Formats: sequence, structure tokens, C-alpha cells
Amino acid sequence: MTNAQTEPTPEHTGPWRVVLVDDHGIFRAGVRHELEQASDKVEIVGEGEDVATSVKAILATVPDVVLLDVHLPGGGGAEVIKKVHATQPKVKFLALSVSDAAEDVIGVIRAGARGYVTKSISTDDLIDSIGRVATNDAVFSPRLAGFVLDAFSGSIDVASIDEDLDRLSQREREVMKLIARGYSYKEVAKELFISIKTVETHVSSVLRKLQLSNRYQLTKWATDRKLV
Amino acid sequence: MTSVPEPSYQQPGPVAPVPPNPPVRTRLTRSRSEAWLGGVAAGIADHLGWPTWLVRLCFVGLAFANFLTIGVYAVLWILMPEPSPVEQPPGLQAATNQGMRQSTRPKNVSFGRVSAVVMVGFGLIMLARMLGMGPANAFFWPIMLAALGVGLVWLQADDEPAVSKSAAEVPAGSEQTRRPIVSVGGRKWVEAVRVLGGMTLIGGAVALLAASQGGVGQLPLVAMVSALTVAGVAVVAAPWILRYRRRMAAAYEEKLIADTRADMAAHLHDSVLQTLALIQRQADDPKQVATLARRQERELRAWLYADQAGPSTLKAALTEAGGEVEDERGVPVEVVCVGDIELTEGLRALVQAAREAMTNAAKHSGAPFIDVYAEVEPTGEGELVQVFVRDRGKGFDPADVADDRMGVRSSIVGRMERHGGSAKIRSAPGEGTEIRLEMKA
Repeated sequence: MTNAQTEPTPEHTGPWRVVLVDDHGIFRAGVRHELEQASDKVEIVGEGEDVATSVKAILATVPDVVLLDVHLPGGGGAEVIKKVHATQPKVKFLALSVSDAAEDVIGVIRAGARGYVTKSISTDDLIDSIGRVATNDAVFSPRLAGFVLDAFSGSIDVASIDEDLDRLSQREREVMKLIARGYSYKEVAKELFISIKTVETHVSSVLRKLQLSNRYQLTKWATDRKLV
Repeated sequence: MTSVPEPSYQQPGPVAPVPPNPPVRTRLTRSRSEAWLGGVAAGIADHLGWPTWLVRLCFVGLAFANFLTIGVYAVLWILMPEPSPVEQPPGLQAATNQGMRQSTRPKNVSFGRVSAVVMVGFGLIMLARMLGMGPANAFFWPIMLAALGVGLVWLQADDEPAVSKSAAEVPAGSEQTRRPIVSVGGRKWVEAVRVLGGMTLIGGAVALLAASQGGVGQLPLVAMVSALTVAGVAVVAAPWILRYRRRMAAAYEEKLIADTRADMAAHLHDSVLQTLALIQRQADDPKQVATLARRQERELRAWLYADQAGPSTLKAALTEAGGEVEDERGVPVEVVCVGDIELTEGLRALVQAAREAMTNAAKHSGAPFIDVYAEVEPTGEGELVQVFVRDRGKGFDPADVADDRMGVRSSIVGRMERHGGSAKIRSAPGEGTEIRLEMKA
């Protein structure tokens, strides 16, 4: 249920190389089975079941995209991202989870994941999302957009903090709101009379703000929601 | 303690927006996270909505003016309850316990607190001395020393649970697990030093007192006697105290585990087992099985991970309405909420209208899923609540909403207008439908 739209990625040849990280063997088997039906687009080159095995598998194969569970033995998905990015900053992560705890989702995004989708996503949408993340775009599901709006709405009254980093611009808020309403990038572009490329730029910049944003504000947001 | 004047929540400056959730006055509890000493000042500040430094300043200022304030602080320390631990949904607790999420660790405050005690004590002594009332009074030094010692030992008692249990066996989110796990060894050491220091100070106080009665010449002897006494008591009592603490900890853990297991068992029996039985009986009807599985998944997920929004908020009501439509029509409904608000009568009507919109979308649009987005936005006067119900189904031309689509006319538009809100429908054949509901609350 993402808003990913099929879009050609001309400069890339061959299937995306993907590592699958989840602590449930059954789920890995299921996703592998689904993705193998589209072996021309996605190839699974490795699997991991906890932080240690995942980091090992990722560093050994250096895939394009890692499908990452949010909850993982050994410190969670965020830990995997940190360890991999220390040596391989180019590996992209897409969070895939049933966990609806806002704090954990935001935590993984802040650690460096480029998107979040729920495990109930359809196979086609998942493949689209993998392609999107691999080409350095961000994948925002309605749920993630909602979390992001929630996270930033607490900080709009603070004028003293670095404004560029800690607030969403009017346009970015509009884009986030439309995505939260279930609009695809294409539909957002049409609604706001801008190009899809511009929508992608806005979404990427929201992602960047989220990752760089003042820690205090987001922590306060989490505390207010009794998440910490 | 509730008769304190209402603090002002207004923020200075023309652009200050109304906070999304007006702060609710919290119960008066000691603050663990922001404590310098016992967390009394931070707790009071939290309760009154004052800045913590102001309350601290009051305390320090008053302490200089009158030593009684220190007594008041101590009494408050004893009387103010600890904050009740923040409950987490079971799924998150389990994930935290198994180290599957990152936990935010608060800074280790023990050093800061000990140094605060020492500094405040030292400052007071100096002040008293300067005022010339110190050494002149025979009871002054013993009392000061004893107070410091008692303070140190109290800090110890306050921290006790953190040391006596390892974090994995304690419910996540309770105060104990929020303390660092890795530094248990270091904490034991700090603990020993604290107790030792406290006891030395108390011993010193006793010695001084005795010496002041018996003459200064007796001081070394008296000091030795009281040191030996204190040490003796410690040695004799130590094994007993240790065993008692271990037993308490073990009993607590056992009860905790048993409770959790009973809860879990009851829940699984009521929900998952029943659904599995139903699925087996309806195995030849894939649609029914999918519906059952989805309902069970939603229910289980809500139980495991849900925010603890009260049942009377907009978010909870919309989620519930979405779930009902999903069950009735077999079309997934994805509800996303930003902000939340207590339901009023008008908002209840809004939820009803939204439910009607979801039902319509599920019934007529043919879309594979429905997106619902709700937003509570603070405005100049009150909050603006907007709900969007959107499908990507076949859509229709709003101009020819015939009489057979009474649902839209009366249940949605009419209902909203009766309660002072508005409803806008945007749809075109082939482009899906979006219904926007708006209301001031």
C-alpha cells in the first residue's frame, strides 16, 4: 500500500540485489517466494536473522537494497543500519515491519532507512518500493507520513531552533498531508500542479530533515506520547 | 496541594500557537528523570507547570533563609510518591526485553546527585560558619554530619530496585529498566562507596557528639568506639540484608512472570485460538479466511502495539469505525491520524459521517482498499478537525447523485451541516472518490 509508482530506471541493468533481514524464518521464506516470481527485477542475495548475521551478510554481498525488520534481536534494525553505514554508506535500507510503534519507525528512519512499508504490502508495490529506494528516492507510506507530521507538529512553535532543519516548509507539509491521505506521488504532483520530480525532491528533503533534525524535539515528541 | 494558583500556559510572542494538547496537570510525584537530589523540586515544577529551575531556586533560597526548608524537602521526599511506571503494550515490552529495539537511556544521574548532596551540605556548613552560629553550638557539627550521612544512605534506598534486579526480568518501561544495564558493576561500587560514606558520616556525628560531652581529649577513643560499632552492625547485618533483598527480588520476579503469562494465555485463548478454530472450519472459503485472518491480525496488533489512546478520542473512534467497515465489507481500511482530541457530540457525528463514507466506498467503489486520514489542527480559536476518506475506485459524477444515493445526501452532508460542520465530495468517473469532512471543535 505504498504510493510508489512504476517508473523506469534506465541507468540500471539487471535485477536489484537485495538482502532480506527478519527474525522470523517463515516471513523470510514468504517474501523470498513472492520476490522470486519477479526474478527479473529483484534478486535475493542474502538473509539475516539478527543484527550480527545481517551485518555479516550485508557486508559480504554489498547489495543495492536491504529489506529490514524494525525489531531485531541484538539492538533492532537501527543498529544494523549504523553498523553497515560505518563501512558501506551506499547500501540503502527499506524498513519492512508490522510494528506500528511510531517511535521505532521514526528511529529506524533517523538511523538512515529511506522508507517504511508495512508487511501487508502487495508484492508489486514492494518491488516498486525496492526500485525507488535503490535509485535513492524515499518511500513514504500514508502511515509514515502521518508519523512524520505528528513528529514535526510539536516543533512548529520553536522559532529559536535552526529553522531550516527543524521545520517542514509549507510545501513539504502539503506533500506529506496528501501522502497521508493516500495519494501516490503522481497524484500529489497533479494535485499541487508540480512535477513528480519536484514531489520526490520534497519527500527526500523531508527525509533529510527527519534524519538531521534536532534530537531534543523528536525526543520530546516521543516522551509526550509516552513512547520513551 | 491542589489549591495552588493556576499557572499560565501562555507563551510570549505573537506567533505562539496553541499547543496541540493543552497540558494536563500531572499528579504530584517525584521526578526520576530530572532529579538532582530526590526529584522533589522537579516533581513540584512538573505538577505546577513551572520551570524546574525556578522551583529549585526557591528551595535553595529558602534553605538559606531558614534551615527548616531542608526539613520540608526531606519530608516531601518521603511523602511524595514515586511516579507510576509508564506502561507499554505487551508487544513492545517483549521486544524491549529481548533487545530487539533501541532503548533510549537517560543519563546516569547518580554522580550528579551525590555531588549535589555534598556541595549543598558543604555550602550550608560554610554559611552557618560565616554567620557565626556554627562551631559555637555543640550540636551543630554532629547534626550536619549526620544529615549528610542520612542523605547519602537515602539516595541509596531510592535507587535500590535498579541494582537488585537485572533489567531483563523487569517489565520494560518501568523505572528500573530505564537505568543503564551495562554499568551494573560500576554501580555496585558507587553503591558501596555511598553506604560507606554515609555510615562514616553518621559514625563521625555520634563520635563528635559523645566527645563534646566527654571533652575533646576523649575524641579519638570515642571515634574509634563508634566506628567499631557502626562497622560491627554493618558486618552482622550485611548477610541478612543481602538475603532479604534477594528473596524480595526473586518473589517479585516470579509474580511478574506469572502475571504476564496468565495475561498472555487469557488473551491468546480469547482471540487467536478462537480465530484459528474458525479458520479451520471455513477452510474452503478463501475470502472468509482472509477476512478472519485480517481481523485477528488487527486485533492482535492493537493489543500488542497500540497507543494507549482512551476510547473516547477521535483517533480511537475512527480506528474502530474503520475496523468495523473492514469486517463488514472485507475491504481493508487504513486509518492514519495526526494529533488527537477528545470526542464531543459534534465530533461523534463526524465519526458517524466518516463511517458512512467508508461504507459507501467499500460498497460502491470497487477499490481494493480505503485510505482514511484525520488531522487535528490548532487554529486561532479552537481546533480544526479534518477527515479525508479516499478510495481509488470507479468514482462517480457528483452532479447526478440520484435519490438512490441517500447515504451521501443525508448521512454525510446533512449530518455534518446539522452539527455545524461541512462535507465536500470530490469525485469523477474513473478517478476514485474523496470525501472531506471538516468541523471546528
